[in-house]
Amino acid sequence: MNENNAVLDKKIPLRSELGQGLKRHEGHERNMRVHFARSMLRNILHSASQGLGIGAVLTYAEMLQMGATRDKNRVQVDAGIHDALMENAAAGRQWLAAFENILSAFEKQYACENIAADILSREFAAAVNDAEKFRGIKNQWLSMDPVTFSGRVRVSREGFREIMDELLLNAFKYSPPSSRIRILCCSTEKLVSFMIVNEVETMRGGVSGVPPEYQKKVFEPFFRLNNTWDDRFRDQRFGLGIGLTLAENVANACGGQLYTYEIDLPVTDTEKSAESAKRIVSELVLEKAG
Amino acid sequence: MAKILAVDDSEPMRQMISQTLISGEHEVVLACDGEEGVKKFAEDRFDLVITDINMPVLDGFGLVREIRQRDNGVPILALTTESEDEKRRSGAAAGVDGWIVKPFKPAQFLAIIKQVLS
Repeated sequence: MNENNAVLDKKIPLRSELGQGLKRHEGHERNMRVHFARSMLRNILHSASQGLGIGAVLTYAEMLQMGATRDKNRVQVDAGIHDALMENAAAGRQWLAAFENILSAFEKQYACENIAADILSREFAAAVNDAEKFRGIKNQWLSMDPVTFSGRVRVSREGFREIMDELLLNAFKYSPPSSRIRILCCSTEKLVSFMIVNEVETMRGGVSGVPPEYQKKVFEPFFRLNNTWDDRFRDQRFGLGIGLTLAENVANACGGQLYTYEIDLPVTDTEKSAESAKRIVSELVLEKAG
Repeated sequence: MAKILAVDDSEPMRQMISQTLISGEHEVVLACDGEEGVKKFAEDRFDLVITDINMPVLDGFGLVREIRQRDNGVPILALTTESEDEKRRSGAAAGVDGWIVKPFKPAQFLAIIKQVLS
């Protein structure tokens, strides 16, 4: 009995430590949930309030009422304000559709298969074609190296295309007008890497590029480096700071990894400022099959 | 009637601000980011500046600081989606006189402008 008590006594501090550790873990999880919920709500609020969409519908509806004249049962309104209201209502619907896209993307299953370079090259070309409407917005130009590697990589064709769609969209959104975006492919014995490399659009007052401290954060759900919103990209499938999270999920589902980071390139004669030497690299690394 | 410089990176938002200000019989000059705002402010005299905060190239805080170096008297209103106290404090420190959160109510927006100008 005494011996048992002695053993128990020794265990008590251990239990206490375990209890503390568990509490810390639960506390961390709770903080993460609160952080996630706050980011999500803040992004929804920002997106609803700025540019075309729900917020503008409210403002235009009130402007319509301010300038309206009543004649018995009929109300006369300003045609310009009415048209702007309807345009924003359409944008609001598009915004709600993005929520549906996000929900279905979270639930989607991807079938991974072993794919050769020529097939992935076609998927890549299709992703570039999908992204053409976004490329034209800031008149950037794409240069694409041939997709070549020996053997096959393990990935879902659909998933690969969706990841490339997202990476290309980000490259167009966050690089300067008329700049060059490079698509590179390189391989080792076991891995194949697809890189999209774009120049950095500098922002005074906000975050420019992807500084090292944000390299992991950009994959967090609903995280945005800046709260700027470019209406010209409103046709994007997701928005709300969720695209990279979904792309990373797809990459991981196929055993791949997704990275975003900055590199410094040697400055050429035509690039005078230090900023012009910076590039953002978005890289998908896939394993070769068997 | 006042001459107002309105700065916002969103084209539809600029259009909406402009329509509201014109309905209040004000004259409006528009700029699409902080840098263009600084340039337009230097070229003319304004009774009021209304600026967004989150903008590419130069943000609203940067614009306000640049304006305050040249002119300490012109009233400046922030019109933004940001509603957090920390941002408001940063705005006040930079030289913002008033803070309006989007989406704005046109009648209230015009009333605030009238109050600021008086």
